[in-house]
Amino acid sequence: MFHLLYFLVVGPVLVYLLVKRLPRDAALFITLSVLAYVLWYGIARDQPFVITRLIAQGISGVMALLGAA
Amino acid sequence: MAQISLAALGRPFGTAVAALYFLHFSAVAGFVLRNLSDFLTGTILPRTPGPVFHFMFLVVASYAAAQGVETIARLNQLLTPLLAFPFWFIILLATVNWDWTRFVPAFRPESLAGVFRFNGILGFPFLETVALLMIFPVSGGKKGRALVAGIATAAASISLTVFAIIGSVGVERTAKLTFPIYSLVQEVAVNDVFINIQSVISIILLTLIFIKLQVLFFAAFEILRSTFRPVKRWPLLLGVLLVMAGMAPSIVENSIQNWEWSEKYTFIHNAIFGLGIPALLLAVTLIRLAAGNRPGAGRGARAGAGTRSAGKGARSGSGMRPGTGG
Repeated sequence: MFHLLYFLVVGPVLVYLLVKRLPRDAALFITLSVLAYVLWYGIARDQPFVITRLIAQGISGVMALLGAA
Repeated sequence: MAQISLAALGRPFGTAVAALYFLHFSAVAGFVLRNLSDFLTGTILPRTPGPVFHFMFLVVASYAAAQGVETIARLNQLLTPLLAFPFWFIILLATVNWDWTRFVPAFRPESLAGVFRFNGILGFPFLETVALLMIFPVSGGKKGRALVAGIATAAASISLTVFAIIGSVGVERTAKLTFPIYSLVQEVAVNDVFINIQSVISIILLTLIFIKLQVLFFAAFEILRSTFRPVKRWPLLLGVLLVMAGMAPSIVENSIQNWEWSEKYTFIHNAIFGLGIPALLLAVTLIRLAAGNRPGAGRGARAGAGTRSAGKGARSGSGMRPGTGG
């Protein structure tokens, strides 16, 4: 159901941009839509990605590397 | 910021830096939206789902971003002075239960050491002012002085608010409250007229936080527009809206995880974007100048100068009027 709803929001815009022959706009919109899809898919499954946890893991990894060096 | 990174680092690395800043602005906007919805569901509208607030705020913010930076600036110019007086008046009314002995714990040696150990306050909100760099190219006058004055005013306002809360509520009780200002004002009952005064402070806080959201939305939109120069603006606005609406429920898991993040990572995360990358761009620019290679003379810089170029992307515009120097 989520996939259908999301496609109903994003699909018409994408088709419009492709019909109007705006490839750069379409590519930018697809990139943002895919990013938003990943976020919203987690929310729809009631298991959202915790962005700060991912960033914290990244920072800890870099600090561990620097510490090891 | 997008134009500087493209000019200093060239097209591929400049685009990567611009994308990183877009994600940073979106993450900060996610925090702002989450704070707004948590505040509203926790105080006034407990049955309304958070994403409803996120979308409502984002639709208005995207409309403001479409109108351009001048609209956001004029709104800020109009609202902030109007809201400052009632805010401080209400805080003053709330000091009826003032007790100077509540400041005693702050003067213990271990408390003073703790102040310097907790560096999160430097990251949030002060290093988030990097978003204002997106407005610098369209603002005239003494930008540096205005930025420093704004940061100093914010620091003074936050300090005075914390001072008033500690004096009126106390440190131990404040530490257990989710929204101390709201709780403080809720207890104000000077007479029958001032019983529901918390609704006024709610509106003031919501409006002031919403101004921050507008600036962040504009910064995120403008960094993508300057970098990729799309012909149509509304699909980009919709894309940014969808990303930010997805960021808000995903930014933190709960208040405990939020506290851990604030304590350990806020300063590091904000320092990367507020100090680290700008310092890197400055260093690269100076090195290139020293080597006799003027930054911005390459292909990447020409591509990034969307706001001044005469191409289709520039005609689509960001709502900046020609007179504003955009």
